[in-house]
Amino acid sequence: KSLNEDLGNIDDTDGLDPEVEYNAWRLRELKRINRERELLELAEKEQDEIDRRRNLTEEERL
Amino acid sequence: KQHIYTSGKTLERRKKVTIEDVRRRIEYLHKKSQIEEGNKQQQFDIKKRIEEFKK
Amino acid sequence: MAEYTTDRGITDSSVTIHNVNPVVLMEKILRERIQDALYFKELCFAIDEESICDRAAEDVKYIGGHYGNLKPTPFACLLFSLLQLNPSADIVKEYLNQKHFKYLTALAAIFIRMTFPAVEVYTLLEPFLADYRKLRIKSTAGTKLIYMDEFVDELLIKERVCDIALIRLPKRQFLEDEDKLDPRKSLLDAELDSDISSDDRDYDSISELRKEKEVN
Repeated sequence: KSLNEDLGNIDDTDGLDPEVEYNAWRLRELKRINRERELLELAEKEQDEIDRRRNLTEEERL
Repeated sequence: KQHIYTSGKTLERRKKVTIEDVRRRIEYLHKKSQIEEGNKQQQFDIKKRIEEFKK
Repeated sequence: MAEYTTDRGITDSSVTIHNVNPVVLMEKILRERIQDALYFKELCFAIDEESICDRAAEDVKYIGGHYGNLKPTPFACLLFSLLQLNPSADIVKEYLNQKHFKYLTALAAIFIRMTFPAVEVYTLLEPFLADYRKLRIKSTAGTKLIYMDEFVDELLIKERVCDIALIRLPKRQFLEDEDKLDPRKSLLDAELDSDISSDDRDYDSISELRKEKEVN
């Protein structure tokens, strides 16, 4: 049985360049935090809009 | 073609594996891989020495 | 062995997950390819919670569903074995949190995503958003590098990972609103909060992010 299939010449050894690896992660994590914040802001905006509409009087709504 | 999905029978036949068994196995596999890694390194060193010797 | 020739569903002494036989959490087409795969027939036969560690440690060199001519990866075969075995939660957590074999961690992560309750999926997997170990991922498009945090992030936000369709996971925000989860903590939180006015590094990073976004 041959389990040494082609690994695409990709080295998965960790810690070859710790600083570069950490900084790349840091950027990915910042992106995720940014994404989460944007989603939260969007949800809050939607909620505000729903509340605003709910508080309108009948005439204003039409 | 066999489609052996989780069945009561096969579950009964299985030996009960505990979390300690799993921990021990992982430790064993880790040591084994370290030794293999060491051997690889050694073989490589020997090869290198032979190459150098040839020069 | 006529009784083994069809999918008999679940029997009395085994359990269901998400109300179904755990194995059917994986699509039929991949399941059938796995059962036809030589690797599965030879090396996953009579596997148990202990010997699956050997296979994950020695055979798994990449994650992924299938590659080439739709050949299932050892990773997918072992995931199927896990669905068949349905190990206890303690053992699965041991696979996830052991420090030596990152591909075993990745295998446990996708298994948890497929079978555990939503709150546990988030609490168990999110710590690995801080894990930047390298993984190879193989697909029909070839082999790539992916980091553990990226893989886990995909498990939490995508419907399909490694060519495997995942059962729907409630959004984190929904679980927070229901008071079932606290907001996610990041290792960068402290840094971000304390540095907001003074430090330039974060501004650099954020403007870097913006630039990248504009490019995309």
